Amino acid sequence: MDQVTYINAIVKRLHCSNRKKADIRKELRSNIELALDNGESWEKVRKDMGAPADIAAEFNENFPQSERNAAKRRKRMQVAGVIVLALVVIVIAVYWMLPRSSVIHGTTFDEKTVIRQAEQIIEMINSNDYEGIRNQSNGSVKTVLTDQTISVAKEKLGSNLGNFKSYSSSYTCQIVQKGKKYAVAEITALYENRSVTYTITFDQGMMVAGLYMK
Amino acid sequence: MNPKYEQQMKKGVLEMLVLKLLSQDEKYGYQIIGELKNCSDGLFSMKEGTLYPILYRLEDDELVSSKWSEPKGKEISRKYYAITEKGNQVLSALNQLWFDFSNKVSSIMEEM
Repeated sequence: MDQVTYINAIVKRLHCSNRKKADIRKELRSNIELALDNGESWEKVRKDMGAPADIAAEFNENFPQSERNAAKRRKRMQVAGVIVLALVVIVIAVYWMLPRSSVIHGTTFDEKTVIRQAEQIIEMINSNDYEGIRNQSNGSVKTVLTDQTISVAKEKLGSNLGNFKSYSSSYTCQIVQKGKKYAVAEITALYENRSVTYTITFDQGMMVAGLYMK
Repeated sequence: MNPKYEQQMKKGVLEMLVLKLLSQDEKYGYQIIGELKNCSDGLFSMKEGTLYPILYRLEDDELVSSKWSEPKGKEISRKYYAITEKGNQVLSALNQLWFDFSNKVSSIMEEM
């Protein structure tokens, strides 16, 4: 173990203020250099001084309460600092992961294009053109939107919707989730026997990234 | 014999001995360790881990003061400790206490 490592091993174990640590570090270095200058070998000096843990323990036992309080305060501040940093990281991660919505105007998406595309998807649902829907969907959604999945979803709306009549309302927004932007269209379609609200999500390539109907 | 008994006995007089050495002249830590060892024929072989806490305590109690030397050329900078007026008064009191203490202890040890 060289001088610097030896002194560091003592100082890091001290329970006192940083100012006191700097003072002790300087004094120990001076002491060692004087001993070496006096012709003593580094091995002898280290042996005479003793183990870093023992030296530090002796210092700690004799520090006045003010130094111990300073050490405790520093430790509390360090712990508080780590907790604050962890909380900031968590908040940033949650903020990044949670979807955030905003009006579609002024975004990369064009509202009319989004609505038109959503209506096309609805028309495909109406005409059971499930392959057409899959061709308009992105990779992960494509595998989920099987004929069976879409059929089951339609059946849950009721056995007989009747013929499609018109669209009654539409709403669009942009959401950002995990750094990615999506356009969401919520369109209510009127049928002879009931209305159905479709929520269709598009990715930036205007491919379907989500489909929900109720 | 368990060395801790000897250590405990010596512990009680270290402050007084350090003050005594400083009452002669200002000294730095390494010097104090050397002089104490020489004066006591090796009986008081103090380590840095023992001496410096004593010096810092004496300084906190204003019995000693310290200052770093201005090194000249390749000279190593040293932290000198000097006894204060208050330190001299306490040393005097400790000296008297030691006199009474050592006499009483000696008489007990001789009687029994």
